[in-house]
Amino acid sequence: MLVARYTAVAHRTAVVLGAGNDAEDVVQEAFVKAFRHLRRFRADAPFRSWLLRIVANETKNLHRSSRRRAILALRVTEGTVEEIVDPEGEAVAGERRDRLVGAVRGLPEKDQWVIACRYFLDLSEAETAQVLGWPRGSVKSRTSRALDRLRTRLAGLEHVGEEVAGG
Amino acid sequence: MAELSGSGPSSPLEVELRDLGRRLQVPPAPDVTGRVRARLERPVGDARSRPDWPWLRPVAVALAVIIAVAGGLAASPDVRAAVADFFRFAGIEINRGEPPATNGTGRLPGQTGLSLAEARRQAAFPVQVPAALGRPDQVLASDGTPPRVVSLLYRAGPGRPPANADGVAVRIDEFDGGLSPGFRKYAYEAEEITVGDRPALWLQGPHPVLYVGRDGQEYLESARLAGNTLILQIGSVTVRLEGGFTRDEAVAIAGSLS
Repeated sequence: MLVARYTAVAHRTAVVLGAGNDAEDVVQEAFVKAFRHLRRFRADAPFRSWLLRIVANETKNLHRSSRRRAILALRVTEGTVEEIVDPEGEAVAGERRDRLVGAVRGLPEKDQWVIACRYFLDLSEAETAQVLGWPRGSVKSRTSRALDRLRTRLAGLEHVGEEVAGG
Repeated sequence: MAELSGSGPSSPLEVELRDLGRRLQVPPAPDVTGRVRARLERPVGDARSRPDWPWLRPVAVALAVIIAVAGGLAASPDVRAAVADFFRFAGIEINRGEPPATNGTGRLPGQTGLSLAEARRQAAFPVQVPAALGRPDQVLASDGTPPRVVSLLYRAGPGRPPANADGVAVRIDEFDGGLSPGFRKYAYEAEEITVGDRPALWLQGPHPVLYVGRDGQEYLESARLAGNTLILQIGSVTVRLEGGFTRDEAVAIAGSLS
């Protein structure tokens, strides 16, 4: 029951952060680590953030070991009901989403992390800071810069796929 | 609210990103319970155990509870109390069901700070202080006048356990638990022990706890993860001692209550 509740959020986090087919192993590892380190932790804190932090770190380790860099190794489900009855609208929306996915993929890695946490996982700024292990202020500034870069990329359609300079 | 001030209104791009997030295909979550349990049952120090992670901050987790609940981990032989769906010990209900989210502030209703003398004057029950710890660093009275709960807080210091993230080394909640439960805890295993000749209950490891009002209402705001806890009843007063102490240390502190 409860483990299912946390497994789901842990698994989604692992997948969205790019664990791919290894998401299951990441989740398993995260639970085991959390459990083994349990006795050390006495303080009061949200459990979810801590578990997700382990998931994020396990996923990062995976990226390091496999040189996998694609945070967004993800497929997008196409078409809401409204869009299916409006095929033309759906085509435009789908195209726009493809561009957005492409633009996010072209961002520096840390930008991808923060975008994934804040928007794809819908975490608060505070929780994102806990999960990524960054100061809250870095989450804020990194998010804002990542959004600016995305806007730039999306505005310059012809440049899609080209790296935006700067870090 | 401070929490929301950093976000501001969402821009169209942010709305689009959230929409994209909702469309991302995530395969169904696997059931890892069995494998997690199998690995945890291996002796510690197994080849798979890893060095410490410097990025981990000292926070508590309800995982022991969660995994035990979900996986039905066999209680170790020395843990005598098999827990039914819930049971009551003194003024505290131990529940094995699904715990609430523990992201409340941990504050009890109407919680206010006051002196020990004032707490003793206001409370309708005798407020006891452990000689082993001396005078509390902070005293809180909660839920009405006279207060239903008086809490004694101790900071870290010589002869005391280390403090938690809130700077509290030991927390002692006392209340008249004769009539209705004042706290609901979510734990799978609880150990029956004695303090002097009094029966007591020891809960090892972090577990969710929340406050239950006089009328049986749950105060979700009070939900939090509690550390190791010893529960005992002195007269009609339920005492719960919480801290980063071992069971024996907790027993020694409880034994010095007067």
